[in-house]
Amino acid sequence: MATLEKDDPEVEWIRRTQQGDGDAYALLVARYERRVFSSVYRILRRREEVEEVAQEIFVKAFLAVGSYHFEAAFSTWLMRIAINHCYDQLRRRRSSRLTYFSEMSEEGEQAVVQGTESRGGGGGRVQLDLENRELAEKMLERAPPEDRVILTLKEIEDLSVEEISKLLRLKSSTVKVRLHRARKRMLADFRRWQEGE
Amino acid sequence: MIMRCRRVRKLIMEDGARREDVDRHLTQCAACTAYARDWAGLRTALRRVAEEPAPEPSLGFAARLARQLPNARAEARAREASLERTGRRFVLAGVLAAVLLALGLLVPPSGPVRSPEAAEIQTARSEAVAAQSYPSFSNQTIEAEYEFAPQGGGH
Repeated sequence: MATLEKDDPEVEWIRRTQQGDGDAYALLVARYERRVFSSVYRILRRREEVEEVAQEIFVKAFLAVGSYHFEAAFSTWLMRIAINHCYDQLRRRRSSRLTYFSEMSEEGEQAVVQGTESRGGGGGRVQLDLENRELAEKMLERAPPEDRVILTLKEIEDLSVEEISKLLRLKSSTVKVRLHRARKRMLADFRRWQEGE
Repeated sequence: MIMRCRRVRKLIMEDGARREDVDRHLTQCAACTAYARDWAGLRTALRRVAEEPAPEPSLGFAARLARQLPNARAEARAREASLERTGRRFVLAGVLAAVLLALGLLVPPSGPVRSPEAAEIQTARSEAVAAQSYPSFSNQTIEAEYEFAPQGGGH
């Protein structure tokens, strides 16, 4: 079972939640709300949507809690639901979206360029860092959902390959391959933008 | 050389300590050095993105959510029931279609409606109906028609 302290009340909260106790579930929500908010924000990158999406995730988890059999940590099980939900949101959003800088419309490209120019345009390490940060953020926003999820978990959430493989229910070797491809694609675009600057 | 660069670039992107042979390669290859520099720049940029704080849950988020749960559960049950009903209808329609198909295949072709005798009766019946509907050319009618014909005018 999950790595829980001996007298951690979480197991009791989960069992009560499985019997339909909403108050016990509120205790679980309070324990994990920050983590879910953080992951939702980092994957979706829309501040105004975070609370609503987090709410949907917690409701979904409550309705599915009967299928939780203490095989993995409750946090892993919950985060799996959160990531899948975010992934679905990204895919829905994606239907009208473009990929990366190389596939951005001229308008989108201009927006990135203007965003960096508006900060004074070059000069100094801090300025370059800031420009790169902005560019990396835009690229994450435009990355295909699969790349975006895996890059966020690795590069932003700083999870290990093993942790990611548990969350995504993939083999470690598959995670490594996908991560490498995603990194390569993003770097290719990052370099392309820098060369064109 | 190309393969070597490809391998080096792959290793640059991998986590963990930089290998000695990669470092050696970088001292001799400007293209891979630039690649390594750009990768480091991108990673730094991503770390800066990670530093940005995520929004905090609003006060009482968990309690508000708990109050919504009975409704959410009721809605989910209603959805499930509706799906079940729809599913049952589909199953029923499928069974009905299967029964009809089976009947169509199983009923023997020599039944009262399909037998050759029945076909003959049907044909005879159709002819009788046709005979009632249209005037028949009996001998009498023909004679009447020829009543005004020139008498003894035959050749």
